This record gives sequence, structure tokens and C-alpha cells, in this order.
Amino acid sequence: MNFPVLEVPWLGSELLMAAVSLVFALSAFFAVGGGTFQVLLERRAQEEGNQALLSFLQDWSRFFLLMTLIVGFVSWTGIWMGAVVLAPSAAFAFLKIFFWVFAVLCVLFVVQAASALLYHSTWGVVAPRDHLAIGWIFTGSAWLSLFCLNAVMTFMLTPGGWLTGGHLHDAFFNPTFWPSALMLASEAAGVAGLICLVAASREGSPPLKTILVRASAALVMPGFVLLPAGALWHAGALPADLRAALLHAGGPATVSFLTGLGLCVLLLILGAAGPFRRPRAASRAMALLLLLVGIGAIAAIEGTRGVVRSPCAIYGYLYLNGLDVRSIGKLREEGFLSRAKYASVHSVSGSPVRAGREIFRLQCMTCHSIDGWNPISRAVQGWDRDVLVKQIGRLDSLQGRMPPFAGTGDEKNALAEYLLTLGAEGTKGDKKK
Amino acid sequence: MSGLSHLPLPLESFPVPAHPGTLAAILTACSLAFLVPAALITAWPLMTLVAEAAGRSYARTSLRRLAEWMARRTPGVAVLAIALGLPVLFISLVLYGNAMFPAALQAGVWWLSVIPLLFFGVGASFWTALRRRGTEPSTLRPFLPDIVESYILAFRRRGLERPGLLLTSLAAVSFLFIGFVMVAHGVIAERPALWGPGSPPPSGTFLPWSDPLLLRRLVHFLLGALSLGGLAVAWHGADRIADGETAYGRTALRFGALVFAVPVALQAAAGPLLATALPPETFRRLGGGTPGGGWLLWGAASAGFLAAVLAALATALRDPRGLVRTSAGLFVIALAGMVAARQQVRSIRLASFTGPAEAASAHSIAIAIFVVVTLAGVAALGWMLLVSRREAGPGDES
Repeated sequence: MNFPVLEVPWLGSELLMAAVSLVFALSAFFAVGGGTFQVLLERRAQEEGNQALLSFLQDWSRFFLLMTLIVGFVSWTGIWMGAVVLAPSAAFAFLKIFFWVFAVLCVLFVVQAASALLYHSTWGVVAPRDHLAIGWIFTGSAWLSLFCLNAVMTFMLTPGGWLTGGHLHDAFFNPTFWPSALMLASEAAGVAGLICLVAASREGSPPLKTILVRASAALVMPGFVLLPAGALWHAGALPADLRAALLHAGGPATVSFLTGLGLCVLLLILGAAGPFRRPRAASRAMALLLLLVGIGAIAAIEGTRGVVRSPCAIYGYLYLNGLDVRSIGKLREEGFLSRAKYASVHSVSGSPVRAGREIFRLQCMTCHSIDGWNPISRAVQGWDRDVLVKQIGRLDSLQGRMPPFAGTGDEKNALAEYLLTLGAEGTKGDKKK
Repeated sequence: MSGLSHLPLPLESFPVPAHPGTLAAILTACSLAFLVPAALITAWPLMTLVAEAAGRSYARTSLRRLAEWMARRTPGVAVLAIALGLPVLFISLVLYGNAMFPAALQAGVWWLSVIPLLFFGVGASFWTALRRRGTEPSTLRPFLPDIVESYILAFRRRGLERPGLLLTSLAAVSFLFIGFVMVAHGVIAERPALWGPGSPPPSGTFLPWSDPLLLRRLVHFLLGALSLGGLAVAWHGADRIADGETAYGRTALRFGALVFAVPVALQAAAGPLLATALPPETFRRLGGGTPGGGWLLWGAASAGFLAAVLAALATALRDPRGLVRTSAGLFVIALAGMVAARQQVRSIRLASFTGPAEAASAHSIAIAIFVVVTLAGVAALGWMLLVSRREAGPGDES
């Protein structure tokens, strides 16, 4: 209500943000896990004088550089560029609450960028000990970044004591901070190990292949054992109502959660029975299959956070449509349009349909388009006025994924009038077909 | 200006996490730090294309070597621009979010297009840098046909066998368009009539073509970017001369000084044109209505022109390093003045949209952690650069 709303008709703002976030999350996991992996292996190669391994790592560092700096940095920027126009209220709130945390993150990203570039470009140029130290600087800053990002991610779901006290410390070390930190660390190890496995499967030299597959197993196996453990710990740390939503039989969060756990088990079985048991026989197809299963497991488990949190951007504080959770009662009493900064009409009187259209634009269009992505015209097709008014009055109980309607009875009727025109148009369209 | 004070603040305005004056000072410092890599990634792909084209057309290997030098440094500069650009975005949003968010929504489609463009631009510059040595055609050809041929070959063979010019031009276009979007956003943000309450719902495709500030600010930015790109190349040339690579160093110095001096001279027209396109009230306050407003602009402009003259003179010296460095120092002063003036314009025009300040003590621990991390980060960066330079030696550019 403090900002206008941009309609993203064919893709949907939620899907767009989720896609960019997933790309960023995977590259961040890879930066953390892959960075640790490469410095540990480099140290081993230096100690053993293993030139083949050093040569592999030099090539790997180029791939690592491209993944972290192109995919990671650009997708991180993409999240913010997207959030500015697709979720401005949430972005504004995050920036103000976590401003100094983001300031720390910015410093860490500058250090990461410089160290990744120097790590790649100084192979054989600087002393081995110094090269390793540059790698550790990258790894350390990457882990610290993940630590900070974890606080922001978990805050969205469990703001905890911040809701009452407003202290940054409570926002940062919120109730799910530590379980989630375990999850992210597991995911970082898992993703890096699986990508390493793909690289190892292409290796021609059997001894080197064995070393790489074993290194991959050392990341993948503990990673995907600890991930379900972290996810269960995380579930246990949720407030009772969120935990109930997560464990609601047949609910989307439950399905996603169980799918994720199942994929973790599948990956562990496939890995233990296949490439990790016989490293020299590790095939590229199997490595790619494991990578897909691993990404699926992570996406499913991480996806539950969004599903459980829905319809809030910050649970208990801000809805996805930018409305303050605590303001709903007041808006129902005093009216929405009269207080909406970016409404083109401020009262229902005159043209209820136009007023309803404004309410739809400002309260619903963050998630719904008219007839594109998640189309409202299809959802209300065939509904009459009474059904519409009744359903609008209990939006928050419809699948539990929508914010409550915020407005007076007249505004509710106006929204129903507007939706009626869409439903009627949709019906006409169908009849024509 | 009068229109701004009539617009209501949001109903639920958040406090900002420090005193707005402190944040504005940090924003100015971050903007200056960001401006350097941002200017270089805008200018260098274009300069690479020109150096490569001239090198091929006139069989000048030193120019082609210079093109390679720029191409190999563009990815690092691009990453640095992203890393330093985000703090600028964050602080701007925190300070002027009530204006910046709605303005971005008006041009939302263009704003979102920055995401794929960054992928293209950064990706192409990395690809060019990492593959350049092994993929350049050896024959000398006219410039434009070579680009066309690059595209045709890429299409026919479904691969990028000769990606140098193709990728460099892709990076150049991507970064130029990103610069355009950012300039357009800045122009929209400073015109509340375009996005404030009562404005039409955002179409996402709006661009303020009718605003005289748009093209003038874009030209001003592009000329500034080219100046900085040229100065960096002139500095590189002076260093190479001092290291004994006279022929290549002279080429780089002359090319850089030319690309530096000509845009600075053109700013003599572009700068006043931009300033006069500002609303009269803002212009009056910027040009002397506020303490320090006038000398800031005039001082910065004078430092810039003096820097260009020194760079031009340096081309005639046997050891031009001292003069080029003095020129760079003066240009940094000019940039700092311009950034401060830009910040002043923004604060004048958006004064009514700044949120209330929260007591900074509420964030004192976080601020202390930030200071510690920053010091540690600077120390780590300094150590890494020191080690890599010491081991690489003066003649090695890796």
C-alpha cells in the first residue's frame, strides 16, 4: 500500500523471484563448499607434491571463478533488482532492518571477488603458501557471507523476539538461525561435492579420478545426511502454528518437505551403491543424475520455507502484498482506499467497479494477474456475487496461502463487483471457444 | 520543489538505520568508489572495439595489444562494479526509498532487463578475456565487416569460434544499456509527478523521453566514463614507458590521453547543458544558493579540465609518469566534486522523501562489527595485492 504494484503478466513475480533466488542459492552453496573443497585439496596436493591434482585444481579454479563471479554475483544483484520492483515493501523493510548486516555482506563480497580473481590468476605466480592463503581468504569470507545470509533468510520465517523488541540481535539470531545454519552448511557441502563428482567423472587418469571421487564423497555423504537432520531440527524450532502448517497432511509444504527428505535418502543410496563404492567406474551420466537429485532435494526442502511462510514476506509482520499484518483490523474499520497512497480512487462511492479494480491492483496483483500467471479470471469463473463476497471475506482460510482481505464491507463488495466482471468475461470467452 | 512537500509520506515509514547525514556521506563515498569501475566497464569494451578496429585497419600490433590488455581487465572491473554498486543501491534505497522504489516500478521492465544484461555483459567479458588469446583472427580486416562475419560464423557453425569482437560488442551494448537504465531511473526518481500518488499505475515500460535531463545526463555520464577509461589507459601507457616498453607504452599513452582529453573538452558543453536542464530552484540552490554549492561545481570542473591538459602534455614527455599521476589525482578531485554535487541535487530534490532517523545507538554493535569487518577486509585486500604484485614483478601483468 506504500508502493505501486507492477503486473508481471506471463511469468508471475513469485516465480521470477524464486527462479533467481534458486540460481543464487546454488551458486552461493557452490562458492562456500567449492571454495573449501579447492583449498583443502590444494593443501593436500602441495603436501604430496601431486602435480596432476594441482593441474586439475588450476582448471577447476577457472570454472569456480565463472560460477561464483558470473552466476553468483549477477544472481545476487538480480535478487535485489527483482525485489525492488516485485516486492518493494519487503525489500525496503529488509534493508532498514538489516542495513548494517548488508553493509558487512557488501564488504565480504568485495573481498570474495578480489580473492577469487587473484586465486585464479596467481597459480604458479605467487608462493604456494601465499596462494593457499588467498584461497582461505575467499573461503573464510564466503562462510561469513553464508552466515549473514542465513540470518536474513530465517528472519523471514521466524522473526521471533524482533517482533516485540525490534532489536537487530533478535532478528539476526532468530529461533531458526542455528538449525538453518546446519542446513545451509550441509547444502554447501553437498552441492560442491556433486559438482566435483561431475568434474571427476570426466577425468581420464584413474588415480586422479579416485582422489576426486573420494573427495566428492567426503562432501556429499555427510552433506546429505546432515541436511535431513538439519531440516528436522529446523521443523522442530518453528513456532507451533508454522510447524502445524509444515506437517499438515497432504499440504503442499508437507509434500515438498517429504519429497526433499526422500530425495536425500535416494541420493545417499545411489551414491553409496554407485560412484562412491567404485570411484574409477564413476560415469558422467550417474554424476549428472546425482547432481539433479541433489538439486531437487535442496529445492524441495528449501521450498518449504516459502510455502510455510506464505502469505507473509516476514512472518507475523508483513504480507506478500506489502500490507502490515497488524494493520488489517484498522483497515477493516477505517477503509483501505482512503489510506492507500497509490490508489487512483480513494472511495467506493461513484464507481464500485473502478474502486474494486484499484483494490485488486493493490492487494492482489502481487500474486495474481488478470488472465496470465495465476489468473484471477479463471479462479472466479462461474462465481456469483454472494459466493465472491463470502470468499473474499475468508481469503486467509482459503488453502492458508492468501493474506486476509483488508478493507470495509463496502470495499469488499466493490472488489466482488470488479471480479464479477472478470468472471463474466472469462465465461463469455469460454462460451465462444 | 513546492510539489514535493505536498506529497504525503507513507503511512508506515520505517526509520533509517543511522542519521541521514551520515548515510548521505557514506553514499557519496560509495558512489565515488563505484563510479570508477562503473565508468571503466562502460568505456573499456567500446575502447577495446576501437583499438582492435584501428589495430587491424592500420596493422598496428601495439593497438591490438592494448585492446587485449583492456579486454583482459574488463571482467575484474565488472565484478568490482557489481560489488561496489550494490552498496550504492542499498543506501539510496534506504535513504530515498519512498522515491526510488516507485520510480523503479515505472520503468520496471527495463529495470528487470538489467538482470539478463548483466549476465550477458559480465559473461561476455569473462569469455572474451579467458579465450581471447587463442581465438583472435590473424588476418587484418576492416572493422565492421569483421563483426558481421563474427556473427555469421557463430550462426553457421553454431559456435563462437571467433568470439572476440562479437563478445566485446555484446558486453559493450549490455553495459551501455544498463547505464542508460540507471540514468533513466535517476531522472524518473527526481520527478515525483511521474510516480507519486495520483500518477498512472506503472506500466513498467515508461522511459522519460520528454525530460530534457535524460539524454543530457546520459551524454554527461558517457563522456565521464570515456574520460576515466582513457585516463586509466594513459596511466598504463606511462607505466609501460617507464618499464622500457617505449613503443607500446607510447601507443597506450597517446590513445588514453586522446580518449581522456576529448570527452573532457566536450564536457564543457555537456556539463552546462545538464545543469541548465535542472529545475530552476535546484539549479539556483546548486549554483550558489547553498553554502559551497557553487565552488564545488566550478572547482570540480576546473580540476577536470586541468587534468586533461596535463594528460595531453604528458604525451610529449620522455618519462610521463609524474604528470599522468598528477592528472589522475586532479581527476579524482573532479570526480569527487561531481559525485558530491550529484548527491546534493538528489538531496535537494528528494528531501521530502527521506524517512525519519532512528537513534544510531540501536545499531551500535552492528556498526562496530561492520567497521571491524571493513578493516579486516581492507587488510586482506592489501595483503593479497601486495603478495601478487611482489611475486609477479614489475613487468608481469598477470
